[in-house]
Amino acid sequence: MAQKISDFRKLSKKFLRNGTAILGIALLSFFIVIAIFAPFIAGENGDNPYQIPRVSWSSKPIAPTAEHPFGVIGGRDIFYGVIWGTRTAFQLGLIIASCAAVIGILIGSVSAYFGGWVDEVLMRIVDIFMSIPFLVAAIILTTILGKGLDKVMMALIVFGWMSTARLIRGNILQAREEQYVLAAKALGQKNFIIIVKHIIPNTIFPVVVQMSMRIGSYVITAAGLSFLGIGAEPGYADWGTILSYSRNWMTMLDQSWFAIVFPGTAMVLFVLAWNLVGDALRDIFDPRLRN
Amino acid sequence: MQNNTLLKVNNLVKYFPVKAGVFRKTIAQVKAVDDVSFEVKKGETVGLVGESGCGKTTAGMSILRLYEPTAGQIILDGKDTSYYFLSRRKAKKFLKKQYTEKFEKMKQKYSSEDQVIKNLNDEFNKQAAKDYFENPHKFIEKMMDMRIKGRSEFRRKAQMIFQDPYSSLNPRHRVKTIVGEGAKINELVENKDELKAMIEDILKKVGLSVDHMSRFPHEFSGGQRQRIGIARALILKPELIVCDEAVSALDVSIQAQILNLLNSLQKEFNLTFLFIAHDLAVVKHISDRVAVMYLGKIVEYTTKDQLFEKPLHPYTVALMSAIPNPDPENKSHRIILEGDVPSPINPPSGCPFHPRCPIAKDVCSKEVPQFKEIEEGHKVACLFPGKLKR
Amino acid sequence: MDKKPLLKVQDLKTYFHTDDGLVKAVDGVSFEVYPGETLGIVGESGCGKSVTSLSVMRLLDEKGEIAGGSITFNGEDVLAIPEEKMMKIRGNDMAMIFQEPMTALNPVFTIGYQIIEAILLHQKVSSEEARAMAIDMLRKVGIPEPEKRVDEYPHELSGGMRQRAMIAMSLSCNPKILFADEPTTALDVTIQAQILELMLSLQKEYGMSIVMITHDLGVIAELAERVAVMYAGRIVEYADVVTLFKKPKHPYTWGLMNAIPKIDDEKEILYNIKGVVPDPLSFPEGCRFNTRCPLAKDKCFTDVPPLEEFEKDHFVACFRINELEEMIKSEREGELSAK
Ligand SMILES: Nc1ncnc2c1ncn2[C@@H]1O[C@H](COP(=O)(O)OP(=O)(O)OP(=O)(O)O)[C@@H](O)[C@H]1O
Ligand SMILES: Nc1ncnc2c1ncn2[C@@H]1O[C@H](COP(=O)(O)OP(=O)(O)OP(=O)(O)O)[C@@H](O)[C@H]1O
Ligand code: SF4
Ligand SMILES: [Mg+2]
Ligand SMILES: [Mg+2]
Repeated sequence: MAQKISDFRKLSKKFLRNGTAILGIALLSFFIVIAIFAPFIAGENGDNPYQIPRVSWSSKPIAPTAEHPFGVIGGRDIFYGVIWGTRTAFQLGLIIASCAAVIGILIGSVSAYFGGWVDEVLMRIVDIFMSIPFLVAAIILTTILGKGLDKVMMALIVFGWMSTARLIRGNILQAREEQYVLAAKALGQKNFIIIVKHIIPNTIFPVVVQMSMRIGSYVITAAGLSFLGIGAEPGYADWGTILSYSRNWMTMLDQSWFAIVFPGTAMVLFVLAWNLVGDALRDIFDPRLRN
Repeated sequence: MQNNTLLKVNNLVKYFPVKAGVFRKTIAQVKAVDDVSFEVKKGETVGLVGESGCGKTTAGMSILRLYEPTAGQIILDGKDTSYYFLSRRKAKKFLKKQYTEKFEKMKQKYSSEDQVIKNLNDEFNKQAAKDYFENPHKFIEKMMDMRIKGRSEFRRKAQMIFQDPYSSLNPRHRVKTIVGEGAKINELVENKDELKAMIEDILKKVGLSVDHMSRFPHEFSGGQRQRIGIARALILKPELIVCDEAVSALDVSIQAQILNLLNSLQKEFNLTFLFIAHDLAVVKHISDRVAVMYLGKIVEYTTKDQLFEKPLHPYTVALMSAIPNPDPENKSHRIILEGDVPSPINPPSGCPFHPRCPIAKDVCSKEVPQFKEIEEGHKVACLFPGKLKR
Repeated sequence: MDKKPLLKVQDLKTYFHTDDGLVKAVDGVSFEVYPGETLGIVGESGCGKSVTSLSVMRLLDEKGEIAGGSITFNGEDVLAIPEEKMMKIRGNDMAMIFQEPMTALNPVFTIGYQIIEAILLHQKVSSEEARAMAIDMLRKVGIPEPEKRVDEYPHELSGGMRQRAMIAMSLSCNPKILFADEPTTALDVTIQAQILELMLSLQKEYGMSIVMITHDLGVIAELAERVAVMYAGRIVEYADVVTLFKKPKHPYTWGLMNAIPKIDDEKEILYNIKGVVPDPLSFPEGCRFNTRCPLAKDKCFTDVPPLEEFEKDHFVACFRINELEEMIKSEREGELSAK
């Protein structure tokens, strides 16, 4: 126990000495706070909080004012959209990343564990999925499934698990060859315990790191789909949706810059936060880097 | 059975299938170990030498059942352990083939049970035949009952020290977890305090300090890591330890430390070593007897002194002459072998060494030389033993 | 020796600026190589053997820096040669072979292509001539059917064949000096014997100098004429091969010689150089061997022992040479009593 506490102290010290890790954590906490307190920051739209309230019936953008600090576009309050969009971003990122990871881990470990033709077949499937450009595939699938964020999520999950599957398969195959696995076998350890104690800890952490790194990129992709008009429903509190409103005003950036800058900044910072956190996790998970 | 034999390996075979295509059809076999027989006496060190890829590791791993052998009998401490790690069905099949069918067939051939026993060539199988003929059904039943219990006993008695001091320790585990794992699995201790005392004791024995217990492997040098690996094996108080290139990855000065340590531990615990290495000088230093392997087969097996004074297999002779001698005034006269080691997928016909052998004659490519005793305690597999001179 | 050295390295210091701190990998190394001779550099892992040769070839990565000393090759100051000319010298006058030929050969080109390219880079010949030269070279290093092998890729060759191809490539331009960094460590003894034999015969034919880097004292004894023993970035002893093996004067050299098992000398217990090589980030003050040396005393912990001529052409860096006899004697007695 004492060991664990001193370990934790060592870790947190190391973590705090690492500037980028702090920045990542700070940014992420900032987003979490915003997501939790969204109703207090931007208020709550009575019927459906995820619907950005209409504040004007003209589609002309309105520059930021005291009442609408990020301006208005398409009649929607950008500030509300950005704040509540944080919740959407977390939902999107976490759900897609974890579902894709679960599928990937399942397929990857089945593939590695059984080997032989099972492996061959699964990996061919992975190859086929990977050969379809991600964005194109997602576009086609959302077009077929129809509008709505859940459809976007589904599309991204369906086309997002392959790299995890490959990663975990490769890791397991590699870990299985490590001599410490043989050594455990030679000591008489049961196969199941070998997997739990020796193989999983050495294979799962890279996946967790990869997952956190990809959360940001999923959000960007979903935003991209919304921007193309095949993502969330119009008026949904989502960063991509706000961006999509600015599509028509692209040539008049002097009048619509705020519709790009505010959600855009949020997105960039969100991606950055997850990337930095992913980096920090990598350091934490590896005892070789703890000194 | 001579009770000073600890390990007896009879006709060990291990093939690795080479698979290809979507349905993973087996298209060829890597004949990594092909009919290897030898025995190791209690308390002695047997060296196993040979070039890279000749099957040393595969042999060691098969003996410990880290690889399931394709065929062969592995007798440890007077017990046939060959079927211990097979599934129930396969174990039954093995016993049927190894004992029932064999003995019944012999009985038909020799017509009497006593004749069968007389014609079996090793003590273990003689005794087995006796027991079998007394009550065939009970004999097999008893063997099957041994299976599960035998596993943990086998694991306790036979351990391994690995070559790579980096990959052989789990980087996420602390020294005490690594060293204590075996004791926990095999329930050698009752509580945490006992375990701790045991780990401390063993760490001291291998020359590490108690402060090292809570550290991770990466905090140690190669030599220290190898000590951790030795402690992990030693905690089970094993009788047989297979050392697979246990010092090959270490620096000269560290190698000497580990060799000395193994030597003193052997005396203290009356250990038996199967010492796998490619460095003949190291093997000579530590072994009592030496087996030389070439392309999946043992080509020469005898005492160390015999082997180094009077090697009989041309491959052994060439191997010895090839070692650079660390004495500038006494440079070795090298016999240079032509070509490379052939592939074990497609071993040459006849004597596997004939394409490289300096004294090969025509028959060598046709006739497979028997591995037989040429002089007292000196087995060789060559049609012209002793003909290649240094 | 009155001949002029081909390569003269004086007080070479090579430091690495790593994230963890300054690594003084090579710290004040001096040696010469004469035309046609073989100098052996021997020492344990991490003592700076490879860094020494990389420094001379000016092949250090960006973290490495030659912090002092001079290198004279063929009468020229190597450290002052512009990079462009250095590239010409490398491969032409200086060549190198590595431990793992796979990493030094480009896997996407045939070995023939790689040798031909090296020839074309340094010699004015047509590409047909270069191909003929490459095949000729492959034959010289003992690759069977060179006409066929010339069009094979590195992965199609066995380890020994790859090392031969590597040697063929480095010798194709007839270098004056060849750095061989553990050329046989990854190979089997019978293949090692082939390669060493080959290097000896090629040296006879071409008359080049060889710097043989290895940790294997056997290889050194077979091949080298003079030997430098390195420990923790410094040369501790430097002498002709017979003197070094028969009358080592540095406690480290002596220890090393007695720590290896020998085929023709039975010993129950090997000499134990206690402890481990110090961490390159924090080498000890004074003599770097002082953490492991049984003779270490007073001055050893404060001053750096200079590499001084003990007898003619036998250099030793130790303050307590005279005490070594004593140590050996007590060591022998200990051995006897252990029996
Ligand atoms: N798991 C495996 N699958 C397929 N082939 C294998 C496997 N393990 C070993 N082999 C093959 O079996 C042969 C013998 O290999 P092994 O590792 O036993 O040799 P070795 O004598 O230990 O060599 P080294 O000195 O290089 O360790 C080699 O040709 C090798 O390629
Ligand atoms: N590129 C580099 N960056 C940082 N440190 C380096 C680098 N190359 C070498 N070193 C350090 O320099 C020291 C000497 O290394 P070098 O490779 O010369 O050892 P060596 O004697 O060749 O050992 P080996 O027998 O293992 O090849 C080592 O401590 C090593 O960590
Ligand atoms: S100088 Fe001192 S410490 Fe160094 S080797 Fe000589 S006696 Fe040992
Ligand atoms: Mg091996
Ligand atoms: Mg090196």
